[in-house]
Amino acid sequence: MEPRPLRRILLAEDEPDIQAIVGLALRSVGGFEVEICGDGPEVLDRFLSGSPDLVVLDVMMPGMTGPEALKELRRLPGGAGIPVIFMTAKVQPGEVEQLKALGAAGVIPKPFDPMTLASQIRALWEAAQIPETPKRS
Amino acid sequence: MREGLGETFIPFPGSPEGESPEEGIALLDDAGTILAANEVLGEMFRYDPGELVGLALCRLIAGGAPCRFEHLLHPPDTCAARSSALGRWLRVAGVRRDGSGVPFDMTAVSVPEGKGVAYVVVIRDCGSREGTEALLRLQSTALEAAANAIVITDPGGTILWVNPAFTRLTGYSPEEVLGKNPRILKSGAHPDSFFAGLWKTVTSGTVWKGQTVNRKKDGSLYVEEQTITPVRDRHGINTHFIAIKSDITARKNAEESLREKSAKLEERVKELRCLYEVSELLRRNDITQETLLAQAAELLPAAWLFPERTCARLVWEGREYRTENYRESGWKLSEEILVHGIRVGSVEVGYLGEEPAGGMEPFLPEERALIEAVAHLLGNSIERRWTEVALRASERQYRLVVENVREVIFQCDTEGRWSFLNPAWENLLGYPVEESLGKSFLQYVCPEDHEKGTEMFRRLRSGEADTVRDELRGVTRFRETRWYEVVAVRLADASGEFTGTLGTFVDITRRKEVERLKSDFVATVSHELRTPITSIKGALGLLAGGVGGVLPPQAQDLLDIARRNCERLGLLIDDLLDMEKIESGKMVFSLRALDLLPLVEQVVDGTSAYAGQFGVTFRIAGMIPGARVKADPDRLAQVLTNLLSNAAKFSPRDTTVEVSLERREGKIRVAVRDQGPGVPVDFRPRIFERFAQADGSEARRKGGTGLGLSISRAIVERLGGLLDFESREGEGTTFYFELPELEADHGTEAP
Repeated sequence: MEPRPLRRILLAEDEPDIQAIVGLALRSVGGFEVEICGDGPEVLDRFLSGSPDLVVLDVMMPGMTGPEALKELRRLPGGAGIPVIFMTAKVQPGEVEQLKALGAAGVIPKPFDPMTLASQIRALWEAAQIPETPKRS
Repeated sequence: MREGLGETFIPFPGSPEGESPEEGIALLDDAGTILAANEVLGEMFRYDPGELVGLALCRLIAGGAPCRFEHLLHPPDTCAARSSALGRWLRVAGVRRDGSGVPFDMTAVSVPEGKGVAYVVVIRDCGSREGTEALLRLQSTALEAAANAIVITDPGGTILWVNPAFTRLTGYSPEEVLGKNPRILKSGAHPDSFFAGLWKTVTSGTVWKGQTVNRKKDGSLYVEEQTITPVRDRHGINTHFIAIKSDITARKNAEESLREKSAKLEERVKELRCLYEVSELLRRNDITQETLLAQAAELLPAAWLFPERTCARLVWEGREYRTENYRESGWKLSEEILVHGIRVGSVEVGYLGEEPAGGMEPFLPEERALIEAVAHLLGNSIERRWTEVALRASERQYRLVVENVREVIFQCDTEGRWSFLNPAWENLLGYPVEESLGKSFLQYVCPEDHEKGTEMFRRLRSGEADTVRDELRGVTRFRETRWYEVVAVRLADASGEFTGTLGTFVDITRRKEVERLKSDFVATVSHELRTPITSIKGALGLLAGGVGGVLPPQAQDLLDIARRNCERLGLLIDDLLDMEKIESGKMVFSLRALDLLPLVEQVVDGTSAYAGQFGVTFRIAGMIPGARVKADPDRLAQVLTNLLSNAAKFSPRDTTVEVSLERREGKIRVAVRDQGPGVPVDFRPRIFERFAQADGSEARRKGGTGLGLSISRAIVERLGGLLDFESREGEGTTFYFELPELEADHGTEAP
C-alpha cells in the first residue's frame, strides 16, 4: 500500500532564525504546510487545534524540553501514534539512542542542510508508516 | 690465835708442833658450845670468829643436833668406838654458814677445866684440800691438754713449766726452756719499752693482754696474742705468772688480707659509685648539656685514691668544665670522648701532688679503666641525646606534616578497619578520629560505591595490586555525599603477608563539580555554538538552493565561500568538542565486536565523493574477511575517515590511495597509503600534536582543523591500539592503526 503523503508538519523551535530557516526549507523546498511554535506548551496546544501529520521537536528548549514535550504529546488524544522527529545540536552517539528510545521516529542533527531537510523528513515519515521496517537514523 | 687457850700448849695426835695454818681450833664446853675459836675455823666455815663463840659445834655439822656432838665424842654404840673423835681423826660432813657442804677431819681432846671438862677440837678442812687437790688435778690436766700455749713462770719470770702446746707453737721443748726467760722468743720487732711496759703491768698485779711478734726456734716469726696473769697467794704476794699464748699469725694474716681487700673494695666502690652517679646524671633530661658536663666533672675526683688532691676537667666542643681545684699538672690521665666515632671532647683527671720521678707510672690500672669508662659513658650518652634530639625533630616534622595536611592520611588493618587517621579526617568527614578508629572503612563509603571500595581493598589484600587509586563517594557526618580521590598502598611483612593498607584521600567534590560544570558547559557551548551555525548554514544553504531567488554568478561564488567556511566552522567545533572529551576522559565508547571489512568498505564508500574532489580514488587491498576487533564502530569510522580524507587531501590528482588490511602477531593493521609528497622530516615529531599542520599556507588551503590526527590517535589508543605512520619524502605516506584481533567465538554485530 502506498504510504499516506506527508502534508502538515508541526514544528517546535525556540530560536527565531532557525524557525525561519526550517520553515523556509520545509515549505519552499519540501512543499509542506508548516505550523511553527515557540515552545513545548504551545506545540501541545496547536496539536490539538491543528491536526498535523508529523511533529518536529527541537530538543533544547527553555522550560519544557523536547523529550518532555514528547511525553506530554503522547498523552494527548491522537498523540499516541503520531510520528515525532527530534532536532538537536547534541549528537553524541549515546544521546541519539536515548532520544530514539523515547519513541522518536528519527533524530536530525544541527546544523543541517536546509536543501535536503525536507527529503530527510519525508524519508523518516515514510519509514514510520511501515510498521515492520526497523527504524534507522 | 690462841689467846683463848692461854699458854697451854696441847700437842695433837699426828700433827706437827707449831703452826699449822690450815687447822681450825675450837675450845668447847662439855655441851659442845664453842667457847673460843681461831681465825682458820672461822674462815673454813665462813663465820667471823666472834660469831662462833656461843655457837653449838653441831651447827657446823650437817644435820647436826646437840646429841650429835655427844655421839661424836661418846658414841652410844661401843662397837662404834672407832667412830669417836677422841684421840683419832674422824671424817665429818660439815656445813658452812651459807649451807654449802665442807667435809672436814676432826679430832678432839678433853681438857680438865675446873671441875668439869672442856674439849679442844681440831678441824682440818679436807674438803677444800680435797677440792683443791681435785681442782689442781683438773687444772693440771687442762693445762696439759690446752690448745693454747701456757707458760708458768716464777715471780722473776723464769720458766717453771710449759705445756705441749707451747712446744707446738714455738718449737722449744720443755727441757730447752725450763729455767730460762721467755725473752728467748724475742724477735726484735718490739722496742724495749714494750717489754718494760709489760713487766710493769704484770708486776703491779694487773693482767696484761696484748700481741707480740715472736720468733720460733726455727727462726720464723709469728704473732701471738698473750694473756699474762699474775698469781698471788692469800697475802697478795706474787707467786707465779701464768701466760696463755695463742698463735694469731694466721688470723693476723687474714686480717691484713681482709684489710687490703677491704681497701681495694672501697676503691672499687668509689669507682662504681662514680660511674653510677655519672650515669644517673646522664639519664636526666631535665638539665642542659652544659650543666650535665659541669656536674660530671665534679663527680670524678671522689673516685680517685686521694680525692682532695685530685682535680678533673671535661673538654667538650671547645668548652671546658673544671673542678674548682683544677690546675695544669704533668701527672694526669686523659681519655677522648667519641660521638659517632668522632672526637668531640676529652676527660682529664689530674693529681695535684708532687710530680713523680721520671718514668714512673702514676696511676693505677683501675684508674685508667675508670677514666675510659667515664669517657665511654659520656660519649654514649651524648650520642644518644643527639639521636633523641634528631629523632624528636624528625618526629616533630612528621607530626607537623601528618597533622596539618589537608589530605587524610590513613592506615587500615587486615580487615579494612581504620587503624590510623590524621586530624584531617575530622575536617573532611566530620567524625572525631577516636570514634572512627576500629570501624570498617566501608561504613563511610556511599552505598553505591561499596562494590568499588570492596574491590579496591580486595585487590590490595590478595596482592593483585600494590597500589590502587580511584574515586569514591563518601558520606560525611552531616549526611553530605562527597567525592574523594583515594590512593592506597599494600602493606606487607617481611614474608609478603598482607598486614594492612596505608594511603591518603582528598576531597575532590569541588573538582568533580567543576568537571560536571565543564561537561555541562561543553554541552551547552556546543549547543550554543551550533545554533548560530545552524542558522548561518541553513540560510546560506537555502540561498544556494535558490529558495531566496535566482542568484547572480558572483553572488553564487561568494555564497560558496561563506558556505565552505561555515562547514569548516562546524567541523572545527566538532573536533574541539571531541578533543575536550578525549582529554577529560569523557569520550564514551560503546565497544562491540566488529567485522572490520564491512566497516572499511563503508567508510571508503562514504569518503569517495570527498576524495573525488581531489581527483583521488580509493582502492581496497589485502582484505582479510573475518578480521574482527573490539571497538566503537562510529569512532573507528571517524578515525578511518580522518586518515582517508588526509590521504586524499595530500595526494596528487589522479592517484590512488590504497587501503589494506593485514594480520600482524595477533593484531590487525589497517593501512592507508598515499602517493603524496610524504611527511617533511622536520614535521614528523609534531605530526600528532593538536593544530599542527605541516606547512601553514599549504595546509590551510587544504583545509582541516589540525586536530584530526591527534583525535584519531587518542581514539585508537583508548581502544587499546596504536596509530602511526611511515613516510618517505617524495614517495608517499602510509598511515596505519593496529588493534588486537578478536577471537572467532565472539558474536558480531554489523557496524
